[in-house]
Amino acid sequence: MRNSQRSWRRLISGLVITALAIVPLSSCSKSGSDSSDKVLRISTIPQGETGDKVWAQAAEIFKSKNPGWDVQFVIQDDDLYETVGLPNQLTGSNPPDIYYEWAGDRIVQRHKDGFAAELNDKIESSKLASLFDPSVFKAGSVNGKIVLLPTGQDVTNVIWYDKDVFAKYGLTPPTTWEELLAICDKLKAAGITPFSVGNKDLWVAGNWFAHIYSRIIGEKMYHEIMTLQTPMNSPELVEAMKIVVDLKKKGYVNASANSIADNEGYTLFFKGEAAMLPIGSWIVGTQKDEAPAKKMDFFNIPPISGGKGDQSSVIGVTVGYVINGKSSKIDKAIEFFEGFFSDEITAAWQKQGSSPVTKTAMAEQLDPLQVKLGKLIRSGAPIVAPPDTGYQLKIADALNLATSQVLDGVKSPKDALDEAQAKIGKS
Amino acid sequence: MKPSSRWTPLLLVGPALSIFCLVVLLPLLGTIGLSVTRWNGFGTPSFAGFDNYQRAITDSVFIKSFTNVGVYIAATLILEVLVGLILAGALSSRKSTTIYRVALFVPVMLPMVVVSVLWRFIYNPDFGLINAIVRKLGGENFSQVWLGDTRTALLSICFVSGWVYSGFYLAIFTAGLQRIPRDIIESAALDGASERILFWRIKVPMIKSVNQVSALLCITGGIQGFDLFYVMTGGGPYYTTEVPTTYMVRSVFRDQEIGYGSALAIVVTLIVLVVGFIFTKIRKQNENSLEY
Repeated sequence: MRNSQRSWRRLISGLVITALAIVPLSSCSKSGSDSSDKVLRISTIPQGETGDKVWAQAAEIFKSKNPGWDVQFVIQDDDLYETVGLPNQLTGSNPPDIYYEWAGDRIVQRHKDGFAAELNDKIESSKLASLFDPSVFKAGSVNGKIVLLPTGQDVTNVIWYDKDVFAKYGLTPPTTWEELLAICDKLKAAGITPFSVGNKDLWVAGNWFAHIYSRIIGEKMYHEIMTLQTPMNSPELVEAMKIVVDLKKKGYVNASANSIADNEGYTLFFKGEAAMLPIGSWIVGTQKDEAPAKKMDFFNIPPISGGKGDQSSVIGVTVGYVINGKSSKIDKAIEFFEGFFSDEITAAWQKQGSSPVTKTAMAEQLDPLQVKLGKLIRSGAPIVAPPDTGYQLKIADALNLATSQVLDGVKSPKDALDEAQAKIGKS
Repeated sequence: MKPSSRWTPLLLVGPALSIFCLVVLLPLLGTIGLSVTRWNGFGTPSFAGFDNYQRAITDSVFIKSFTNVGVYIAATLILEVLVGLILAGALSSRKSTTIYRVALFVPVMLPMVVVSVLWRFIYNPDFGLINAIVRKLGGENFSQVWLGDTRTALLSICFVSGWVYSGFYLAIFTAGLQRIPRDIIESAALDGASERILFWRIKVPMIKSVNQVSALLCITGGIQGFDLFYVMTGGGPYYTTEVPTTYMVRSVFRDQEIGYGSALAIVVTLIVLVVGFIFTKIRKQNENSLEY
């Protein structure tokens, strides 16, 4: 009896000591910022070496006007940021005050969860109102509330081509899908891989073919499929996906597409091992950093005969920065952006190869490719939202996976889309 | 010698116990709690009962991930444990083998992420080392999309794991073999036993517990394997290299289904506990056998 009493006392004592030890350890974590915190935290994706210098310049402007304040950057690879990185940061102990986002379903979700501050009044009462045309805020608004300060309108996918290769074989940008296939035939006969795609993370080919599907089945049906109003394995999409089968059978896409990452796909193109690269407008900055001697230009997906969509449509997304709705430094963030969107910093971004959307920038684009991209996205043609940034990630993943399976020849369009529909139907 | 105060043992164990509670027990209890909820990580979790567990046992990708990890464990038992054992046998019977042992142990010291990135380059189908050598030797038809082909992706990862960890098991088995008394080996040699018989019929049975521990380490390590798969293939192509850990990370961080991912984690934990329990039972049965 005495032994068992001692055992119980020891057990209870041990638990009490453990609990006492845990309490100070657990109180070490901070939750959210407090008013004495003079650090503006900005979370973003890599902008290249030259882009980092522009950020540093913007940070210096803010710090010079706010002595005692610091600006901290958290830069994450975009694949990581888009999925795991940003949600982890927002729910962490030092969440960002400002973070990069893509307009679309993502900012709707952020606004719903309280992570996106409504900026209409703040913009009106600050210098920002004079720096932008009000129309550019539309894409970054949720129910009329501006939540995203736009830094660019990314064209998510066009076909970039090697000007030297095209000139060598007497090729010109195609005006129809059939002409594009004829170009691919000529390149293949010359021993050059027509398209270089780095699709390991599924979004590169996903975005490219999503645009093609929308051209074939129509923008409305594409949107209905991506918002679960219409099943993903609809006969129309199954039929549209046969275009992927066609490209695969003819060997127009590099065999390594599904095993190499996006940057490895760029490398194949920059090294001259492929003539065309279906990717977005950000390649302009990458090319300046990694292959400054490369001569390249682009064309939009050419019209596909019989397609129900608008054959001049562009796949694109507005990108920019959101101020964290739970931050105590919203006014300081606005002040930061007054400097960030100033003429000085805008000029620095343009020199870097980016295409800002302030009034000054729109009037004076420096890079001819960015001018051409800007004209494309502002041409008035319908803008198709990319799967991964415009819609729920699960639905985007299901479609992108189906595309990659068909691109690799492991599944037919029907089987791939049946599997995709079964997956999104269960969740 | 009894402690001077009855609180002394508790105070000495306290820090370790509190760290155990903080990093193991509390997260485990938290995960069990989350596993019965539906939650995207932002709003308030809603109670889901055993829906997540029901979904887990019918989830074809989750089931396939166990098949994949089973293949991985089977392959690494050969490529890591068996190769490590053979290398230990080969090197222990020779002199001046330190340089070989060090060279084989070097990959063990590399961070797994570094190994994964390195081998991604080696396996790159367009400009990687393996395909470059194959093409140079005139075997263009033998060049493969190593990490992108469903037939080769998983085995390619298994090979990398063998390259890394065979050195680890070499070190374990070398230590085990060195404990065997020399007179037993000498008397067997005098009786006419060849090197092969000496190794397989005498040395290996005498280090049975080392063999069992190595196999257990390989199996539990295989179930917990993550970085190789995540960095090299991300679970692709088409879930061919998806293992339970990568699927858990996908569910929680990409699909933002914290509740479902937590249920998957609990299922995996239970499986690891069962495997450990079975092994412990097997070891207890063999307690009386002669070994060193």
